Amino acid sequence: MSIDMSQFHQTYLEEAVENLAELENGLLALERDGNADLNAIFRAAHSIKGGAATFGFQDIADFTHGVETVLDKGRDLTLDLSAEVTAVLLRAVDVLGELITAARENRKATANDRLACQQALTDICGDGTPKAASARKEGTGGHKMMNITFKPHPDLPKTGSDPLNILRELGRLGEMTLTAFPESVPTLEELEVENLFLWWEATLETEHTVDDVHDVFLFVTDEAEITVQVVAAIDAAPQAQPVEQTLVAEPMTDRRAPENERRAGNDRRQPEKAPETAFIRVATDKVDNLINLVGELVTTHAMVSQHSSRVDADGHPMLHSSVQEMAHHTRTLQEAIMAIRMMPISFAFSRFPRMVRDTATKLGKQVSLVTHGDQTELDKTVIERIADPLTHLVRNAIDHGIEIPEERKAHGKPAEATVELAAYYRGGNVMIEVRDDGRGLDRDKLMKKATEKGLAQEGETYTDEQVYQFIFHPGFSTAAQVTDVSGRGVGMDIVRKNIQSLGGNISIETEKHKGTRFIISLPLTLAIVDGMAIRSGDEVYIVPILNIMESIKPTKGQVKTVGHNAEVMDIRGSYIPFVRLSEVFKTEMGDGSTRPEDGIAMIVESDHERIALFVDELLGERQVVIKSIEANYRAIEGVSGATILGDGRVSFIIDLAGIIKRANREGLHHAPVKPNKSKMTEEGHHVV
Amino acid sequence: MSSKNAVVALEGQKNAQAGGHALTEPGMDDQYLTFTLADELYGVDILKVQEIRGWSGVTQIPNCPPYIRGVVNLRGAIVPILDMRRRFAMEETPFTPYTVVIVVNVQGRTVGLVVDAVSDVVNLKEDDLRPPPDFGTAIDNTYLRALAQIGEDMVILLNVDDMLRSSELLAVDKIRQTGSETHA
Repeated sequence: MSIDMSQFHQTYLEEAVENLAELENGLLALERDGNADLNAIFRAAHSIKGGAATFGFQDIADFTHGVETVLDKGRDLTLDLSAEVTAVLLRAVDVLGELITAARENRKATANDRLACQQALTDICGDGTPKAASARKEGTGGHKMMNITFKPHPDLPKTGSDPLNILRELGRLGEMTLTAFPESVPTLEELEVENLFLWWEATLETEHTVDDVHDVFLFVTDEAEITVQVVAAIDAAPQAQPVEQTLVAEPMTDRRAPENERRAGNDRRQPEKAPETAFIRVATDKVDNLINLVGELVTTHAMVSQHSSRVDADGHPMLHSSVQEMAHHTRTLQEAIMAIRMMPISFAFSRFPRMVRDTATKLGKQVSLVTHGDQTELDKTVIERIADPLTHLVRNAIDHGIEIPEERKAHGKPAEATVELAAYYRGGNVMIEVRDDGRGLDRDKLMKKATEKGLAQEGETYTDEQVYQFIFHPGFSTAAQVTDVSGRGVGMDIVRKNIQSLGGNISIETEKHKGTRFIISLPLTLAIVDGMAIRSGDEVYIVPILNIMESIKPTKGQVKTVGHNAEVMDIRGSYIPFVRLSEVFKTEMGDGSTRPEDGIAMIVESDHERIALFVDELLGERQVVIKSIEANYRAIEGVSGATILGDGRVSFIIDLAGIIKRANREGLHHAPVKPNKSKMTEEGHHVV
Repeated sequence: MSSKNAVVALEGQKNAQAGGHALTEPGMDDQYLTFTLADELYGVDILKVQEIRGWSGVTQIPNCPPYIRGVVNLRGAIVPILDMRRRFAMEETPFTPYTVVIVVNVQGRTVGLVVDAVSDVVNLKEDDLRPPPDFGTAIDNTYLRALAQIGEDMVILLNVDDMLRSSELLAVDKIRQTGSETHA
C-alpha cells in the first residue's frame, strides 16, 4: 500500500527552494534591521524540514532541524540572534541550498561546509546566552544531564536506518558518553549478518529538551525501545524540572502529546496568517502555446476586420458593430494571457541582497542595497534572462564603482555606499537602473585604455557617451588588478549582448565621485513589439518604435553623395549616413522613384549609432505579434523576426543593429568625411 | 481510391518508421507525387508532402538566393517558398493558374516548392527504380534519388531531404555561427 512518494519530489523541492529564499530574505532583514518576522522565518525552515522528512530527504530534514532549533530559541528569546548567529544561519542556508540542489539533480550533495556548519549551529545552542528562560516549554534552557537508552529491534537495519547515524546525531546535541552493550551478540555460527544485536546507553549533557532528543529517534520509534530520562539540571534554569518519558514499541500516543502542545503553542504565537493567493503550477509551454494561439486570433481578427471594412456598412450595421466588439474582446483576451507570463521583477531582485552582502564583505567595502519598484511586472522570460546581466552590473558596481570606506570618507561621502536597483515603466518599456554612488567612470582612464586597445584614435575627439561605450567592448577592463569578482574584461560585452538579444538597450550616465548609473531599457514582453509599418518597394516592414528618433521627408539637396555609392544626410548641421533599405535588403524594387525627396528618411538609432534609413512610405504604427522565421528557415541578417499583417501577408521586423552592420560591411554609406557627431571609426572596430 | 490510398500511405509510413524505407515489404508499392517542371516529370515521396496549395504572393526575403522566392503565412507559420525552376536553373516562365506550391515536411521543417503543375500520384516498386547515372560535374545529382519509367515517360525521383540540405536553407547553425563571429 506504499504510495510512490517520488512523484511529489520535484514539487517539494521547488517549494523548498521558495521557502529557502524566504528564509534567506528573512535572515537578511534580521541582520539589517535587527527585527524581522521570526515566525515567518521559522515557518519557512519548518516547512522545509517537515516536507523533507515526509519525502525521505533525511539529510535535508536533519540539517534543517539544527537551523530550526536555533530559530526556535531566537523566537522564544532564549537566544540572542546576534550578527554572528545570523551569519551562521546564512551559512546554513547555503548548505541547505546545496542539499536541495543536489536532491533536485539527483546527485550526492558535496559535503563542503555542512558538518562544520551543523557543529556551529549546535554550538550556538550551547553557548548562546539565554536571556530569559521561557516558561512555556518544559525544560527549555539550562544544561541538564539525561540518560538515554536505545535498544533497537534486531531487524532495524532492514528498515534502512543506520543506528550509527542516529547516535552521531544524538552526539551533536551535547556532550555524550556512549556505552554499547554487546551481550546479546550471538556466536558466529548463529550470527545473522543483517540483524543488529547491540544496544546502547548514553549519558548526554545538553541544553536541548527531551523532545529534541526524541526527535533524533523520530524515524526509528517503531523499531526500537527508547527511554529518555532527565537526571539532573546542571544549570540552575528556573523551569528546568526533571522529566521522564518512556517510549516503547507503541510510542505514538506518548510522543504526540508534547508535539501537539508545542504546535498549539506555535499557533498561538502566530497571529492570523496573511491570506494566501491561490496558485496553480502550469508548465510554461502550455502558457506559450496559449500565447501563440491568441496571437493567431489577433491576426485572424485583423483579417476579418479588414475584409469587413470592404462590406457596405449601411447594409450590414450588425456586422460592423460585432467586428468591433470582437476587436475589444480579442485585445482584452490578449492582455489577460500576456499577464499570465508577467511576473514582478522582485523575482530577479531577490537574489541581490545576499550577493551584495557577500561581495561587499569579500572586498572590505560597506554597501547597502536599496531596491525600488520591485513590483514592476515584466515577462517571465525577460526576467530570467535579465538576471545574469544585472548580477554582473551590480557586482561591477561594488568592485569597480564603490570605493573602500577610507577613500569615501576622504571625499566627504558616507563610509557606507549605496547601490540602488530600480525598475519602472516608461512608455511600452520597462526601465531597470543600476545606480551606485561610487567614484564614477574615469573618462581619461577609459580613453587611455581605448587608445591602447586601438579602439580610439589619437587626436580624435569623442563624446562622453562614445567613451563610456568603450567598456562594452570585449576584453576591455580598466581594473588594475584582476580580482575573482571582476576585472577580467569579459562580461560587459556579454551584458550588452544579452540585453540586445532581449530587444533592449543599455546606456550609461556617470559623474566623477558622484556615481554611475546603468540604464537598461527592455520591452515588456518578447512576444509583441510596437512597430512602425513602412513600405519599401513592394514590401512592408516593421521597424521597432524603440529605435525611431524621428522621421523626416528629405528636401532637395539635403542628401549628398560622398564618393562612390555613399550618401549622407544633413540633419540640422550634422551629417549622418543615409542608408536605403532597398539597397541593404537587395529586394526586387517596384517602379517607384529613388529620389530622396520622394520617400521618407527615418532617423533611427541602435547601439548609439544613428543612421537615416530611407524608405518609400510610412504606413502607421501597429502592435505586432512576433513569429519565428527560424522554425522553417534560418536567421536573416537585419531581420529579427516576422509578423503577419492584417491581409495575411508576412512582414519582416527589422533589426536595426543588423542593418547598420550590413550597411557598414558593404560600404553602403561609408563616407570618407569626418563630421563631428557621426561615428567614423574603422569598419572592423565599428561600435556595433 | 482515395481512402485506399490513405491506408496504403499510412502503412507505408509505418514501414518507413520501422525500417528506413517502405520498400522492405515485397509487393509493397511506394507512392510518389509527380509534378512537371518545363517538359520534365519529377516525383517526391508522398509521405513528405503535407499539402498542395495554389501560388499566392510571397514576401521577399532580404539577401537570399534567387531560388528562394520568399515566405508565406501558412496558418500562422512562416514558411519559405523555393522556386524549383530557379533551383534547377531552368528557364523561367510566368506563373499560370496551374502553378502550385507543394508543401513538404522535411526534418521537422515545412517548406514550399513551386512547380509548374502537379500531375499524378504513382505507385512504384523498388524494381522500377534505376539509379541515376553519374553526370560528373555537369549536374549535381546528390538529390536525385532514382529514375523510373512510367509508360512512355521517365520520372525523376527527388530526395527532398538531401535537396534541402544541400541548399542553404537548412545550413542554419553554420550561418548563425558565422553571423555571431562577424558580430564579435
